[in-house]
Amino acid sequence: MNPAEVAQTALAAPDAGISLMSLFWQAHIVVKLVMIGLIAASIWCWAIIVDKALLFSRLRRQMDQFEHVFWSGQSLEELYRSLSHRPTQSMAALFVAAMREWKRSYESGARSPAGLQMRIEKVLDVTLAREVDRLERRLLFLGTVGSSAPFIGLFGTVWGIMTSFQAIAASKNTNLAVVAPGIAEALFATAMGLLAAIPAVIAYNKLSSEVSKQTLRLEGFADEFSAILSRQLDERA
Amino acid sequence: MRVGLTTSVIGHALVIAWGLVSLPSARPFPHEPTEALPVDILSDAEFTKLTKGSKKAELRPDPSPADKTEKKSAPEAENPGKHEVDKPSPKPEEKKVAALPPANQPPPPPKAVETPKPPEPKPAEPAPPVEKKVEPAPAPEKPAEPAPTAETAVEPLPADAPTPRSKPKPPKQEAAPKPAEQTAKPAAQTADAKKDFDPNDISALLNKVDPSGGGAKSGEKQASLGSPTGRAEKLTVGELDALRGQIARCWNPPVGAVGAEDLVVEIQMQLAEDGSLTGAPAVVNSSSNPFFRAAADAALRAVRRCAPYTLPAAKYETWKDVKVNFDPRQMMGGW
Repeated sequence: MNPAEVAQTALAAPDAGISLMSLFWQAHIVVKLVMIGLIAASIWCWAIIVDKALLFSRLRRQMDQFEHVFWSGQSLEELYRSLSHRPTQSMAALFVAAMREWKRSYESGARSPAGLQMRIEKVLDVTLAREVDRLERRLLFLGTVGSSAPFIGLFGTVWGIMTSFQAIAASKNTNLAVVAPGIAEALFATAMGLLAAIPAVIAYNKLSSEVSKQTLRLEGFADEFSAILSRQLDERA
Repeated sequence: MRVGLTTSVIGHALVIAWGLVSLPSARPFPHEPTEALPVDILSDAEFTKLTKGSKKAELRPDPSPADKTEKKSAPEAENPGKHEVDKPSPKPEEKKVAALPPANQPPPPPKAVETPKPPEPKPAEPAPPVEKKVEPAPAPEKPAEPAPTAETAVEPLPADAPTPRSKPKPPKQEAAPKPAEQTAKPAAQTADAKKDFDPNDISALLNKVDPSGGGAKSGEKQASLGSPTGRAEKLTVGELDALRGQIARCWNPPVGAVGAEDLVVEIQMQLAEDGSLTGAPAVVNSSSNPFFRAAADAALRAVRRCAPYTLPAAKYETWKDVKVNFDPRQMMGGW
């Protein structure tokens, strides 16, 4: 072969496409699906991350506010009245749920303090569980993406390399310029998998620690509030 | 949730857009286009048949080694004493002249005329003998000398020293000055020689000019395609195998000897042109192995027994003196 020809073929092959778009469009359909799935997972992950970050910062603010009001010595009746007519979250929700049960019991004329105490505890537990569940919702998705996205990307890569090796075998040419685009597009899948997985893992760890912190805080409040109510019952009895 | 989703979608769109803009500009590795090296694959036989020559010369049927001094040699030819064979410079004539004049002195002037004209390419060698014969007789060269030409100097010499070695040279020496004739030195020398006419002096003169004992140059043939180290005359692997096979037929390797790897016997043998041994083959190496003696004897026996070997006669030079290794594990020939 003529040296000039060799040089030309070697130079010409790579510009078949290194751009992101051509890497995607040249890929095998399975690899394409993997990439699309990973992009979607990444979008959803970031949506969750943003959502949770906003939620937690809002919750923290609300809790601080509520605790401030709650411990300010304001009458619980007034507080209940101001909170009960609008949907509440976290601590306020716990407070409203307990207070509602308390009021209903008194309005229906049930006078057994032990029964009332038990019901209030139950209501607090249920509300707490609901609140924690709301905090934790969708976090599991982050964990799943974090652990499985690299494998999904790897699957795309393996598939892409497999097909590109088949193509090499078919073209009977082992020139690196022939091999490289296929491998590049295959590796692109792993890159996307990692791109989706890394933020997901980091966010999952961060957010779950945040969830447990807030849960503890809610539990603490629930215990304290139930103690207050129990004292009130004893005083009234 | 909507806020998060929107943010996420927008963020991904931005990242992908950035990727589309920036990633395509992946720079190709800076590399110079390398020039492909032309490679010829030679078989063993072709390699051994490489002729000596220049790599860039074209293939010629009649190869001669690359010789860069050739070009130079042409101008040099005027130097006395060089290129006797190649350049039959004026000398021969003068010799003749020298030979002739002794008989009759008048000719000298004609000589002078003759020398300038292009000399016929007569071989230098034939001339000297003639001179010798003639010169001894013409003792009276001196009278002839009146001619102011350099040749006159020649004549005295022969007369004095009829030895054949020195004679051929004097003519040469003078021959050179002649063609040049403008060169003052030779002229002066010759003049001195005339006046003194001392044989010792003359011989001294001769010695001065003598040194350039230029050997015969191989002609002006152009270099042909080949490798600078090529030998051309070499046994090809096939021929080696043939010799190996011939010897192996008669060889009973030492069976069951301990340490067979030490029992490699190297034998040097001289071969005549018909493939028979000349002189006794000799064991070249030695070993401390107790079986070595036996192995060496076996090898010598083998070499003698198969004596007339059939090898390409044209390459006799290459197998005239040959070393053969007798390796009990695998007989191998080597030289």
